[in-house]
Amino acid sequence: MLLFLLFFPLAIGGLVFILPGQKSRNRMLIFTALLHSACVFSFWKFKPAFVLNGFLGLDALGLLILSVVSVLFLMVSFYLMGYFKNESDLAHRIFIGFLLFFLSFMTLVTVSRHFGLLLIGIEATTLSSVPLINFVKTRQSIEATWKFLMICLIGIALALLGTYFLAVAGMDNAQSLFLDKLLIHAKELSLPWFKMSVIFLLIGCGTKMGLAPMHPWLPDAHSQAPSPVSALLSGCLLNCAFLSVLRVGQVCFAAGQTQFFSSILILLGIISLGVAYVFILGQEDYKRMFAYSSVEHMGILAIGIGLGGAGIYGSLLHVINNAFTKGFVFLVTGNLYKQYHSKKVSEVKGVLRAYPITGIFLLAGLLAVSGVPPFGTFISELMILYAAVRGHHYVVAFLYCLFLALIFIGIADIILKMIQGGPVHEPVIQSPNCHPERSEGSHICQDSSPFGLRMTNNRESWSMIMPILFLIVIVLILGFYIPPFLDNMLQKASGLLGG
Amino acid sequence: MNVWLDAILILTVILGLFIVASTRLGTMIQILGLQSLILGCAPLFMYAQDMELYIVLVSLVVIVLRGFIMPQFLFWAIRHVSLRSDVSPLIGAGTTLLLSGVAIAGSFLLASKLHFPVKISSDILIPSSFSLIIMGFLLLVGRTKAISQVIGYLVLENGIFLFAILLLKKMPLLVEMGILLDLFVAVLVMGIVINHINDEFKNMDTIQLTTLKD
Repeated sequence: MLLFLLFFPLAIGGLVFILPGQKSRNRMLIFTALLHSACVFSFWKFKPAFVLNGFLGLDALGLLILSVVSVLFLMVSFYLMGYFKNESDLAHRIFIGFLLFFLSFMTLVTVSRHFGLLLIGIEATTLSSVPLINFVKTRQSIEATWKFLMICLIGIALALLGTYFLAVAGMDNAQSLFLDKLLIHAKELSLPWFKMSVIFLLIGCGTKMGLAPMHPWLPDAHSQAPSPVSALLSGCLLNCAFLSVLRVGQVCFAAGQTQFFSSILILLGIISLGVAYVFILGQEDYKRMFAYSSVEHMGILAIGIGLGGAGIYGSLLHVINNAFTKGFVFLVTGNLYKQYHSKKVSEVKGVLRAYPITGIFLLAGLLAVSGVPPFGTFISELMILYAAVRGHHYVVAFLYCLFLALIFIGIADIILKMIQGGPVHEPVIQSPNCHPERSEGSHICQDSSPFGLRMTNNRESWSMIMPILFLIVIVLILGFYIPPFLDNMLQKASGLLGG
Repeated sequence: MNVWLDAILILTVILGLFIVASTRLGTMIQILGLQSLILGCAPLFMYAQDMELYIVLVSLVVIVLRGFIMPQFLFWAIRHVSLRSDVSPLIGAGTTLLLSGVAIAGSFLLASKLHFPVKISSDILIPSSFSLIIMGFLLLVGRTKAISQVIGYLVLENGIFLFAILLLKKMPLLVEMGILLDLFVAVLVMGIVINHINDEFKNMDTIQLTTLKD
């Protein structure tokens, strides 16, 4: 079953390259995403067996992240139906194909039970997302792609070195890099090598996760990628990287080195919050602002795990909340970009007046991203704060509250500026031979026949609203009520980390 | 003591110094290919006593992929560029060379402090691996051409591979091959992106990649 889940998207991804017609490729994408989610949800009921000599297996942590990935991917693939209009055939083929590869490799990350395989998966997700980020092929997107590629590959190289150190640490006893064997022999690992390996692994996986100070690729890649891809990067890819950090945490917990592990994570988390605050304040590009908000939320996750106890439960809950919230806001920015053809905050005015639905979504996004009560993010952020106060980490608690409040003010300032007021100018009309996300340099696309297009442009299409609505409703529900099956799974998952 | 293995290790480090010291891209790629070729032979000497089929396989894959295919591909990636040398590095070749020397000394010092759980057939394997890793880093931060950064990354990966040789018997073949394949695809992708940079910017100076910043 796991093998099917892994190879099915891969096979369809290959098939898509030779499939003619955009419609049929889109249908293939939806079909694969649906089947993937159906499989994943069957796993909540029936636990899949370990396969491939124990290389692949699913535990509570993996299942949690896999479900998030699967649901978000499904929503994004629905969104994509209405997103592409006038793409060249080849570009569309490549995009859909690599999207499916990306799904397959993210699945690999969540199901692998071997550290080497985990890293292979993470590297494969990096490589398969390159054509997605560089979709529009402008100067800016190439620059973003290059930074993403170099920084992440170096990060993964360091993580690989860390993995080898881990193998050395367990040379006398564990004898392998299988997670289960390492957990059994964790107490006997050779300590200096183990500590070195933890440092390298955390730096390597932290790079991929976007923790400051290893984050510079993140804002560039998120702002230059097409919005659905940004949603996937932020909601799925970062969480997969977070899972690898959790795997390291599992071994640390079993080895009784939680103190060492959590001090590194709390430090990185606080730095991430600080960096996010500095760059969100007065940010001129709204996609970049949300990208820095991703850095912030990764920082929150790291702090939650570092605090331990209730913090771990809160952190895992925050994974779900954050993934859906981030998927939501990036899809909203996709709509916004289609309507305004600019990523500049100063050029977007009066959203609420001109496009009421997008305006309301943006407002909801502001509240959800900064963790304001009706939304699930509030609950999970509160749990982490509770863990900090409970564990007498008053300095951490203070800095955490301070930065969250400041970031809320920073984001609110920007978003309110965007949604209030009347439109400063007539929205630029989308021209058929101009991609919606060609960036600033070429965004003034002259259209030969402006009359027919004005109507279609002003309407907010349903296929691009329903998936967004679905995501925010999930976050909203999680703010009021955590269903027992989810609570049960979260308990089990945080139990693996000693929470 | 395994004299041949020691000779190979010393040679790889010296070739690393050559790469660090040179600014001509063609030369750098050629030396990198030679270094990878020699590195690919290291497992054969390391496990000369108890040879197994898959060690030969890994060696062969490394020699073919890193020694021949990757250099050819890197040459392909720079074929359009008229400028064949990295003229304005951020850190000059002399300084980099000096820093590399310090790095080598530091690596020996560090490796002497770390106790390796089992007996290794060569004392200088871990220090040379660390030195190559640091040299790769120096190239990554010190050079501005995209292709020199790729070369830096590959030197870094060579250093990591050197360390991996120690664990060759502990790692399943699947993982070993996966890592090699990943690296190969990574270089492929980097080459393609470099080509895009060439097309769009008319050269491949990463110093020009500064439109995105805060």
